[in-house]
Amino acid sequence: MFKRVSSLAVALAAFALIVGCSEAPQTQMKASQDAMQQAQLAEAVQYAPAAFQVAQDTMNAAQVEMQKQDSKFALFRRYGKSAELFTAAQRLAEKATADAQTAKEQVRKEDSALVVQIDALMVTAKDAYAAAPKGKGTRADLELIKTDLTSTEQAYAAAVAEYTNGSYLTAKTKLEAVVSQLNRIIGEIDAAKAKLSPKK
Amino acid sequence: MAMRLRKWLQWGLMLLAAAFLILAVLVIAKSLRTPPVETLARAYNALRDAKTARADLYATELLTKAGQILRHGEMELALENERFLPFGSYWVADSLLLEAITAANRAEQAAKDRRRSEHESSQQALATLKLRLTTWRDNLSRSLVLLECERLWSKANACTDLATALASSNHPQEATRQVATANGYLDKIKTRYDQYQQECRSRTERWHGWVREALARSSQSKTTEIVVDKVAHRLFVVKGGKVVESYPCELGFNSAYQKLVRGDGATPEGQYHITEVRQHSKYYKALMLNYPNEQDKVRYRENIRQGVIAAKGPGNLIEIHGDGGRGKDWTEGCVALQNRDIDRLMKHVHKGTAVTIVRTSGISKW
Repeated sequence: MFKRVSSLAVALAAFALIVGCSEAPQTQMKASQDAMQQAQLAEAVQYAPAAFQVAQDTMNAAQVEMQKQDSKFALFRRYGKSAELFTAAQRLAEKATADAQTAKEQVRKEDSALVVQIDALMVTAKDAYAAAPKGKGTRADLELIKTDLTSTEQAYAAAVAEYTNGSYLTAKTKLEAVVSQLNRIIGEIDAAKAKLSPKK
Repeated sequence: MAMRLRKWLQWGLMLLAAAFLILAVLVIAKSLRTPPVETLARAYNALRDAKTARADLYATELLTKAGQILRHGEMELALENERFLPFGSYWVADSLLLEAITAANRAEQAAKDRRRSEHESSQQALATLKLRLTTWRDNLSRSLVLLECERLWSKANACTDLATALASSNHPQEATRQVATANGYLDKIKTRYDQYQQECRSRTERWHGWVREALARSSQSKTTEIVVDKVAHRLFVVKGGKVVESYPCELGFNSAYQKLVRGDGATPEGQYHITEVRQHSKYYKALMLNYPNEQDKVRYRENIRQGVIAAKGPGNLIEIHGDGGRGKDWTEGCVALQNRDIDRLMKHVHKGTAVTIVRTSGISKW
């Protein structure tokens, strides 16, 4: 009897040893951490916040699952689910990176289009100013328009500096404000021209 | 020999069974310990919520501290997990994770409070700025044209527009910077305006003196004198020491100042006379004045010597002419009347008629 029990115990121990050993998903964890870091570097927090959030939540779930398995006796640890979650987190982080790059590129293109528009408006505004009749009656308005043009050029330079630094979202707001100012200036020049007495 | 071997095998098997039983006890004991994985999940969520509330910008220190406590908790948890003996406790790890949750919640709340406060503060600052801008617009519209102040106001206005756009598009810190810049321009307007008012107060007696002289001359000699009051935007015709007519007039586009140099857009202040009466002029009709007079030339040379102005000449061709009625100061320095008013004026004046131009005349007192 005793022999049978002992033999059974040995057999069970051998079975547990063979089946129970499972390795922590270090490779998957490292890969997902690297992918999350890449997503942060790609400014996914600003440009793809929802996608980044999903990736972060998946990463957190993977960490929790791994800790849960780590807390068990070594023979009974199963890292399959945490490995899957780390892999999913990596995939989601890579998607967040791609989404951020796409969104950032879109904003950059919009900024570039604004820059082209502003360059054209600036030429129009300066030509209109140069061609405006500078006699009595327009001098006062044109003096102030000249000030506005100078201020707008400075604001444009500041916006371009933001664009060059890669702050595309801030640059976009500033560039849109410059477009608005230039349209207003061109309108003021046209109004100043219209005021001039026709018989002069 | 075979007996001995059987005995050794029996002892071996018993030892193995005993080891297995001990192992089973250890496993059961270890499994009875509950790792704080739910607390860990809550800690991650709390940190995520804090980051969503932009605690990285608005409560950086608190967020960093929460992150450090969480990492410490993770390390304790990992250490405890690695213990073979199941007689340890997750108490330290659990405490740290709970502390991390508290810290993250604090960071989230601090970030929300600070964002709200910054938003309210930004809105308040913008509202105050817009009120200042409107007030200065009214002040400048009521006074003679201070071109320098108009330029500064225009810059302040542009900064305000940009601040409004940045605040609307969720860039409160950039908006605050623009508000500060705009306020800087308005502060410069205040300084310049106060200096201008001080200058006016210090010269009022001199201007009033010129007007008293004109009235006295007119009274004694029964001649016609013209007095132009720049602040009142009126041209007075004085006969026998009394005002007989007055007309609204428009001045240079930089009307607040004494004329110093060609092209400055200021209407000169001084004692002049009519040198020529033109029945036909570019601006309907015109009365030429002898600007620059001797005082003007002396002032011009002194200003050149002191480097106050460029040597562009003091200017000339200052007239009283027609084509006025535009509702604002627009000339290069001349005094513009409506055509019907210059027709009436020309009935009273001739070559040689004295013209006194002052910033403020106080003529209603007399």
